[in-house]
Amino acid sequence: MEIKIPDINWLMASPIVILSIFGMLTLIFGIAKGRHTKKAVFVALLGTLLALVSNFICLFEFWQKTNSTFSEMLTSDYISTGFNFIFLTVTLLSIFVSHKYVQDENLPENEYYGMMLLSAAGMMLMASTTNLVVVFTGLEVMSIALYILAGIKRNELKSLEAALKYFLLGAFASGFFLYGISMLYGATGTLDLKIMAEIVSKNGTEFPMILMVGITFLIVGFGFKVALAPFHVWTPDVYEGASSPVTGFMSVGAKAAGFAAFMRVFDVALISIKTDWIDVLAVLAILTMVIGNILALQQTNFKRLLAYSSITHAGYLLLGIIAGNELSSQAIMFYLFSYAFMNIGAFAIITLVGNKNEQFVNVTDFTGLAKKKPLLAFLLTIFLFSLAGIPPMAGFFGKYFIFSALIKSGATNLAIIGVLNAVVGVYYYLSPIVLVWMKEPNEVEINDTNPMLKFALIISALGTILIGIFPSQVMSFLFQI
Amino acid sequence: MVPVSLYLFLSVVLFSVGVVGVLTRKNAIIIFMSIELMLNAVNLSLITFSRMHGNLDGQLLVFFVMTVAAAEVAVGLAIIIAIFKKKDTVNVDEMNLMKW
Repeated sequence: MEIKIPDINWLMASPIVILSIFGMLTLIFGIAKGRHTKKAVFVALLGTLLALVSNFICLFEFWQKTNSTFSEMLTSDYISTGFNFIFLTVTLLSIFVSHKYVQDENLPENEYYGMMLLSAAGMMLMASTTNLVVVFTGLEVMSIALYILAGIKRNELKSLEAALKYFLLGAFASGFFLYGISMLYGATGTLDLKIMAEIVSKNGTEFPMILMVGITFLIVGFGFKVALAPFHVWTPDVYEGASSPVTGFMSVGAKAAGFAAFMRVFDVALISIKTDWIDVLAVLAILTMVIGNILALQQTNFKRLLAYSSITHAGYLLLGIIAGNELSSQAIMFYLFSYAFMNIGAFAIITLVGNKNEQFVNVTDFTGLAKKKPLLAFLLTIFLFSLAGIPPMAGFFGKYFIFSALIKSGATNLAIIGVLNAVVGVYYYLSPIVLVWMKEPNEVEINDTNPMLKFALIISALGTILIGIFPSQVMSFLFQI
Repeated sequence: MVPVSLYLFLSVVLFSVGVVGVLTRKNAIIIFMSIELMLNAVNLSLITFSRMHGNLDGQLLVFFVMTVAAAEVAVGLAIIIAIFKKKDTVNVDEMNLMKW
């Protein structure tokens, strides 16, 4: 029998391929030069930059039309290139934030950056496909690398505990996710989301129970991965236990990747039976926003505070999925793009103030920061304002686009609930700011000789402000509209 | 011939046993075994559906699932061993450094 090899467009796959190769090179580099080499970071940096360049080329090559290669397994369209930008920005900023931290804590540099790159490759795989096989593979590549990253400080019990919790619950969720895929396959006979969309819309409401059960399982699986209530219980523990730069990386990256796949499954494949799943998602969204906001109010640890804040953000993003129109996919991407800058920026400041062994990560440790380091306090204020959604920061427009997409789809009630939650959320973002600016300084010493991290901070701050000032220009660049 | 529904029923039973195991057991290794059981229950259902529809997509996915499960075992056991070295226990109830 003759086996025909399908045409392969390597340019389309290039960002993922480059990132994977460089991820492995980083690992090998450490073997060649010893585990604690200080040079592995440059290999990782080079790989990320090359992937960024190739993604730019993809953007101009494939915009406005959907292309696929590797027998329809890999897709390149505005969603995939836009999400790849988010992942690569996150990786780049995280490498800068991590650089000194990794050296100070004496972590194995090659493994740290290698896992970061491979995890980012998994995220990109998840966003640039319409096939559930690849979605699953990408999800696991991302998750397994993140389990390792969460437990990379293997002499510290807190980090290991975070890794174990993340691992057990993540693998548990993968089981549900996979069973969901299996049932969707059972109901439609295909794993390709586009073909699935046709079959689902053709058969209308004649589907057996199995499709509904499959959708429920998929919601549970995605819910775990993007931290929706009531599947959010792992989030605060993992965010607290993992190293601060890693937390920044996974809070944005894993969430963005999860929502990319979420969007493809629900807003592409299952959009014609929207009425069947919209109520469940609406309840989950409300629950997520409310629980995130309420529990964030009583946190004393800054990383846990941001963990609950990230749960709330997942709730807003879910509102975008519920809207399910053209506008909402762009709104979700815009939201995640701005979230990348502001959240990584906030975690960068926590990394800096936390100092050795992350001893100063409580909110009270930031008391009087403005008197000691006014610039740092100013940047923290920008990031927290943006997270709270106060104009003219990027976070405001992210929420604005989501809510307007929601209103356009007719779910005005949900939009009102979302806005109310956003208003309540402002309170717990403001309380650290009050501590920082209005109180006398404490004796926490801040060692800010960290040029790489400062660079990342400046980029994040610029991103947060510029996206907020020129939202429509950013939109038109990302989506070429 | 055994009807399709019986295979699916077995798959559901295995999956439920796995879920109950994860939720009730305290030993990290046993929880992990239960998760593997869940994954294999899914494999069974995928192969059944694949046979039912007469295409190979489902069986293809099974290979991916097995590969991923192997990778997960490597990482998971490494994490469990690292925690055992530090703490001399793998009881998940004692993993309580962080609480809300």
